[in-house]
Amino acid sequence: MSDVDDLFELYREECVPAYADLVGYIGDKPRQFLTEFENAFAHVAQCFNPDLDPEHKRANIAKAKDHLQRITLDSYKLIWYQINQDIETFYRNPDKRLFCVNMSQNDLSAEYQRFKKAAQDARVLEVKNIGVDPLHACEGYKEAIKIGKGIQEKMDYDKADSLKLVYGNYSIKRSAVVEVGISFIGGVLATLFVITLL
Amino acid sequence: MVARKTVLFEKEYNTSISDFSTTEEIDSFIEKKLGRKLEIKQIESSVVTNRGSIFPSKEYDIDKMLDSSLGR
Repeated sequence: MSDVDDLFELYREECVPAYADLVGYIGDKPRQFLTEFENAFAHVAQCFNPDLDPEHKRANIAKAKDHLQRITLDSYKLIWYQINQDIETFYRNPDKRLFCVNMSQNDLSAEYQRFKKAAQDARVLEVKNIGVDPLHACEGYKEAIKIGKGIQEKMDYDKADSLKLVYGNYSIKRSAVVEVGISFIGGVLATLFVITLL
Repeated sequence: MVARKTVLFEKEYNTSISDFSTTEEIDSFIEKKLGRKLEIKQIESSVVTNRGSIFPSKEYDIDKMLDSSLGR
């Protein structure tokens, strides 16, 4: 198989599925990826430049491959990051953690630690494989994403929205009570002051 | 090569990745499902850069974001 065939196999087999996962999850396209695809295309174009010798053509294919590998790996890392952001809004909020997650707090903590540990292991593997096989860490990130998705499936977003409304109203009422209280105390103090003067 | 498979996409959209060969096909499919065009999105980050542009734009460093989330 030629280098170019190998490159496009990487595109179809690894890059497109990873891209589908990311774009399907966030529902938008990350700007950075456009640059990566553009750069990859520029290197592929050089591979067909008649003025270049075979060695330089191969070097360009290798660079194009680097860009596609980066897109693949970054896709999984971005999905993990976005899922983590989402879980944290529940995990860091004691009310949401208690009332809006359909699992015990112990299970949630254990799963959340497993989710982070899986990503940490993948990250360690990725750093160890820099320059050797960058995609080696993909499976680790995928595993972490699956764990995160499992946690998200237990998170009740509708209930979290209701909680926000209830607490929002509660906080408005509480601030109104405080204001009335302050006004009352102010009124009493003013009256006492006037009586003292008389 | 690992078997061609997605983690979320196929389950989420009830489809098979083997029906797609390019990112353009993926974009069109998701746009159809969402009922809107995909937007070019800046992934949130606190890093602001100019990079030769007159408009400062947000740029992400996924490794920095990831490491910070992992507490490294």
